[in-house]
Amino acid sequence: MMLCHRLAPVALLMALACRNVVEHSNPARTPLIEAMLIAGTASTDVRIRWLEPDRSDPTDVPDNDVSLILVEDAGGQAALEPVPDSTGHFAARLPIRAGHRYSLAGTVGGRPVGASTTVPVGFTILAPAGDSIRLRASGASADGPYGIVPFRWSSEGGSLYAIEPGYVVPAASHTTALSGELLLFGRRLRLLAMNRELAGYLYASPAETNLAGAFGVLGAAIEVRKAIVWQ
Amino acid sequence: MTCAALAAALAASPQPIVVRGTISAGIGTAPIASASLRSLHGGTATATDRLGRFALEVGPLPDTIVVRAIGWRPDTLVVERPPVRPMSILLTPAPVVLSDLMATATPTTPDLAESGRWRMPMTAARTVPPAVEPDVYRALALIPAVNFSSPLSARPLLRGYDAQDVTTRIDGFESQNLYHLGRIFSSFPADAAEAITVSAAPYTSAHGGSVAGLIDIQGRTGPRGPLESGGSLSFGAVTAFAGGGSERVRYFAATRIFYWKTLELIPKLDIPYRFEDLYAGVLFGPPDRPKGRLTVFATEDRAGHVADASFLHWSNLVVGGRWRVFDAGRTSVDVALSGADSRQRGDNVPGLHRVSPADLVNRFARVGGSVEMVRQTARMRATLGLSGGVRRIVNQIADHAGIAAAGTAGPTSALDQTRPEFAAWASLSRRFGSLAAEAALRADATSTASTLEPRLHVRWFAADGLEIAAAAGRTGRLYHLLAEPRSEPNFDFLDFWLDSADSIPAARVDHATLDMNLGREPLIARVSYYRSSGTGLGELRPETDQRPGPFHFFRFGRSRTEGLEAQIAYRGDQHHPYSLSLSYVVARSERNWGQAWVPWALDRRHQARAFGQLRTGPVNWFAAVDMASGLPVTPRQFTTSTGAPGAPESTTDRDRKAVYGPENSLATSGTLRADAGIAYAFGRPGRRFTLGVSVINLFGTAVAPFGDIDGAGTGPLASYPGGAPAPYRRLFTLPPIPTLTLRGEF
Repeated sequence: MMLCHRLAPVALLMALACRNVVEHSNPARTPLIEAMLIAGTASTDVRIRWLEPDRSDPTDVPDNDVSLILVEDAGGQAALEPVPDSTGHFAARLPIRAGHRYSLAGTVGGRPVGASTTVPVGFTILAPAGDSIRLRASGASADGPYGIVPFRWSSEGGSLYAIEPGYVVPAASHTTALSGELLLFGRRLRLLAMNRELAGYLYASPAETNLAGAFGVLGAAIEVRKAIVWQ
Repeated sequence: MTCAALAAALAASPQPIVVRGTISAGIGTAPIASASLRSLHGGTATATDRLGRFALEVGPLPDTIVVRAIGWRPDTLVVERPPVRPMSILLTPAPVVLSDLMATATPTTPDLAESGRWRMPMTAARTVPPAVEPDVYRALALIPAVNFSSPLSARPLLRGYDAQDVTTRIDGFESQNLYHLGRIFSSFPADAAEAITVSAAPYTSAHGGSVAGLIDIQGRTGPRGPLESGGSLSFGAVTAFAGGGSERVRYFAATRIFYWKTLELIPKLDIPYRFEDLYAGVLFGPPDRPKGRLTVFATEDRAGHVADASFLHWSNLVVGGRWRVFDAGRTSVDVALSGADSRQRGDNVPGLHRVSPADLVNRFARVGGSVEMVRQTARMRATLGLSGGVRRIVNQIADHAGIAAAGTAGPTSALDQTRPEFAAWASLSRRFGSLAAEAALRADATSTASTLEPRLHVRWFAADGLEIAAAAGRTGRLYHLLAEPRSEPNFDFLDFWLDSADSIPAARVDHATLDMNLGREPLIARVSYYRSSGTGLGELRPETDQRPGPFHFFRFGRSRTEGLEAQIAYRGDQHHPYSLSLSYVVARSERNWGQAWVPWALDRRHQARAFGQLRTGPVNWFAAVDMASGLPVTPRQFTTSTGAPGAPESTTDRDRKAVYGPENSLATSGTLRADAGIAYAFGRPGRRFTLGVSVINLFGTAVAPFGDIDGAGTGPLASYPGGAPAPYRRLFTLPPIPTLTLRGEF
């Protein structure tokens, strides 16, 4: 009996130490803001939602919860305005210029949020050159004919390159490489040189966020479009 | 008139008598470093240097000198007349040494190198129940200031700083990355070690290059006389050693070989693996006044298949020599030359955060020399030192072929830098009655960065057996070694060496410590308080850091630590051959990476340890209990798909990604571990054997930290306090691990 009394504290300590308990976190709901500034466009679609505790999907943000402006460091600015019939989407009517820096500032649901990003300076496609790509099909799939073409490009301010539709050989939708081969299908090709903030949010795991007071991204890219002509 | 009186007084005063000599092991002639000597009549004291040498100014003869050294029986000797030649003092080992690590209160000496230092003889290290075999790093668990992230790691964390911020030296010569097999073991064979010393910052100014502290492994020295040899055998490795020598030179060498050809003994690891270690040391000069020492250490690991371009090789080479070029009683000049070369080369190496495998070529090489002059009297000690050298860092890490195109880029690096290094230091210490103080200044510089490091130490011998010491000072390092602090359970192998230049800051940490040592035989106690504040601390960015910084895979920030260590020990003797050490540490370690102060990833708030040793005839029983609060984890607050209006469809709603909350803000359950073992000694003089049996984690309790449920880990799932499932898990489970070792000396 005495032995049991002496061993009881030891057993209690062992039981406590061997538990697998993690303190509960009590996160507050957090704004989720996603915006991609594309050089040369006059308006940017910004998606804003709430990340809610114990909810697997983001929820809509009422329009009047959002009070944000997009500011160009060179001088211009535009308030975000709700896009009619598109809940959670807001338009910032401000020309996006390559090499310029933009900031998002204001509040969502009373919470101050902010972020900055710089649009890439340039994106030069050296190969395949021209506005259209003449391509001989090397096979066909459910998406139609496909073919392979070498690529070579350069960018100032771009850190990752995405292709749509198609793949970077062997089977990636994006790359950090400046040369290689593309597997293309369809009739239109879209190439994006993304800055680090955008690439880090879309492709890193876990996603990187450059927003203060919120999760998400204010990123930027330069877009190049080409037509594909099958021979 | 005054000058004349002073001259007359000086002429009339007797010339001080300086006793010089060496303290060494009674068995063999291994020098005993950091032994204290005290003159009973003169009230003076001193300590032995790295080669066991001392110079003590004694009082009026006859005088009695009391000699003490951790791990050795105290001794006294009477000096009746001025010795004509250096004295040779031989000590015999203490019967139980486990509790002897603490520096006990000794009379003040002007040498304050012992402040904030623990010295652990290898005999004490062997009382830590070994996992597979005794290990020089793992045995540091005896020291309250040191802890480990888990039993799978041999990386010693020191007072809230990572092992990468602690410098390891072999016989005083710096070595990098002293690890085998995913950092589970150190690569220095235990059979080649005489003692291990841990010096917490701010250490003395003669040392630099580490912001948190120093670990110094003292190699063994061969006996004078015919060759003596021995060996040991464990589950994984076999070690052989031999030593001998003459009056003029004594040598010792040890080699260890991993005899399993694959790692299949570890679950899920079935790859070819081997390692070899070599330590060799030569001590020159007569035993009573050695002149110098030459050290060679080499280690080599080979893992994987070279033919399949999937391998990792790493190696270490340290060559160093230290020589006393001038030795005239109170003044000595030592010169040291050393070279070190640490290399890693691998293809298709499992990479950081399991993102992608990497090809790597890493190298850290350094060659240099130093000269230090020491002048010491009974009341004063002054040192002046200079060092210079060249350091080369090659750090090339690339995504393994084919992976980069997939866009899941891993860490990359392409450095090849050669820098000159210079350092200068000066210190002046003086004894004022029962108090001694030292002021020191150290400067380190390369062509791109420099640090200035003032340091101050004070020791007060308050009463018989009671000593209070305080220290404050700055430590710095001009390059970074960045590695994954949590090596387990993936055994991340990538190391990044980065030079401090331009956007990469130099690490500088300001420390303050207050120690109280109490010696009331057979009880000894020590209480230490420490606090630090640093800048330029580097770390690999963890997966949970979602804020982009100037570097993809590194981050640099500030540190602050604070802690209180308490230890009490019972020290046995030949009549009571048992000892017990109890320690408790409450501490915090935080980092600020530019947003806010957050707990450090390996921050343990509470840690209690007990070590016991009992000798019954030829059997030595030992046990250890370690209980600690859990390491923090970063909360996983949400999961969501990522995309943006206008972004390619392939990025949208494809994968759900985690959204993490404040870093390391969640507390977790703690860990508890009990180890035990016995060592049975048998044989006869000249042919002695020790059979050791031990079990790590005797009761199979929880010993692993927690990680994210989507990360690596195989341990049990976690829950919230209410019982609901939580998205975390223990990284692994560790069943009881038995160990059998056999050691022989001939």
